[in-house]
Amino acid sequence: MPEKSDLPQGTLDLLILKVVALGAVHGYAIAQRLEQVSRGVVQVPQGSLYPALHRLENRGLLAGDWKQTESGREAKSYRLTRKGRTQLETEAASWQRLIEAIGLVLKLSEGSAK
Amino acid sequence: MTWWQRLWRRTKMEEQLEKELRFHLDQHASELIARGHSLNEARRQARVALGGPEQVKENCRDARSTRWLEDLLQDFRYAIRAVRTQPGFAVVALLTLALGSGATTVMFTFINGVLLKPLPYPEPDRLVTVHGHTDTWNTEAFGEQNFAYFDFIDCQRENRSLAMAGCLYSSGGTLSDPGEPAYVDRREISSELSSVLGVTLWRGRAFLPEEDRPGAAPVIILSYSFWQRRFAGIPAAIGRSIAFEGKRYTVVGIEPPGSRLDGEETDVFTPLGQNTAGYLRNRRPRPVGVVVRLQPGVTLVQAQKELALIGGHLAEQYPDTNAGRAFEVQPLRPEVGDVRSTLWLLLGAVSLVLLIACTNVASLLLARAVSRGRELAMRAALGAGRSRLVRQCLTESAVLGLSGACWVKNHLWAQP
Repeated sequence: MPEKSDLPQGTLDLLILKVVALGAVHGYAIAQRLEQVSRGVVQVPQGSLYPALHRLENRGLLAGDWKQTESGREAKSYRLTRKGRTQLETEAASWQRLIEAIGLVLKLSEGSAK
Repeated sequence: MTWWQRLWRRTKMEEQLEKELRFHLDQHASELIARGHSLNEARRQARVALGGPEQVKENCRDARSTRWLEDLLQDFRYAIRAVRTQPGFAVVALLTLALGSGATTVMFTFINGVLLKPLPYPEPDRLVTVHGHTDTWNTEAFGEQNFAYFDFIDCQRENRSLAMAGCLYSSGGTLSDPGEPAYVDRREISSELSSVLGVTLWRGRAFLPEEDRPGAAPVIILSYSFWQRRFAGIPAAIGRSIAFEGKRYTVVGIEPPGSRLDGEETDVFTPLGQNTAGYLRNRRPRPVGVVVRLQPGVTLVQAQKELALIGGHLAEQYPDTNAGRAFEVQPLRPEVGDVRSTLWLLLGAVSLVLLIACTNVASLLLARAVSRGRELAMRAALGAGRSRLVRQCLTESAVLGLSGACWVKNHLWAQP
């Protein structure tokens, strides 16, 4: 089992937005999916998942609706708003740029720096 | 959901939060059971994974943007309860605050009305007044010296730097028609008064210069409140004839509401020039008050020079009445006599009283804070941060202060 790493600051919101963008889901499913998709590398702190969801909802990036699950219980499921989609796109793009840049730096060999 | 919806539906939001977290825990637990854990073990693990439910809830509440307002309301309710449990403390504190702020408010209202507020006319700084001056005149005993009517007419005609208007602060009389005969206040004004003050009449027109002469058709202007009282505010009052002191006058205009020349609102105005009384046809008595608007670009000093010149001419022309009589231009201010500095001094004294009151209340609060040490320690132990405690104390003090202010408002301002 690979060692789990903590999420870098500020990436939890991005990950949540991305997971929700794939389809309306409730909080527990978001946590599950994050863990599965990242192959267990990303440790989602469940305690901070809900505050993050509520914060995103307050900012109007997510919208929450109460829906029946397959088991017949009511659960609050979140979906992406239009504003949330734009936010996701910009944040994903800037994240992409960042990792590319970091990748470039890390690829530098001793010789090429001279 | 808008912020006020969030605030109003607080209970519902709490329920939903609880429900959401419970769903999460149940879901996690049932999954763990499916993997072969016992019921209790599964529940335990689910709770460990989520973290303390109260902490999570608290963090979720923090995510609401209305958190500070909710806290404020909570503190407010708590402060009210605290006041109720210690009524003696509250009454003493309130009484002290009410006395201090009440006295200051009364004093400031007075000073604001008398000294600070500019005159309610356009360009009030160009409004001045002119007083007569003779060496033998005792201003302290008789007040400022006014004008003889003829002096006023001469000054008005000869000067270039001023627009002058006169007003006779004297005679009331009986109005006998329409309605019951009644005594009404009357001022006699020269036709320029409203243009000098820069006032537009509410209805109708001001006096014309040709009406401001002996023998002209008798006309009258009503004050707004008199018009409301006697004519129920009907526009048809303009042009009506009314009987005042046994003489018929035609109503030509209505003053705007709240206009007052000296203290009380005068009921009716008649043209000064129509008065043929002997004391106006003679330079010896000086009954006419004068209001002056400086022409654009003219300074007080220039106006003073010109009036001094005219005064000199008049003294040469009419030596037995006007010898030694000069005219002095002065800024137009409400006549408060020599109380200006006294008023400021009183305000200072009263402010000190307020300061002392505040100090007293502060020491009361301090004494109470000592006995509340345990309560605050308990709050801190339960996780209240420093800023949270400070906010709570501030809210409590604000509740005290506001109640004091409300008390002042209800008890002092209710007096006529």
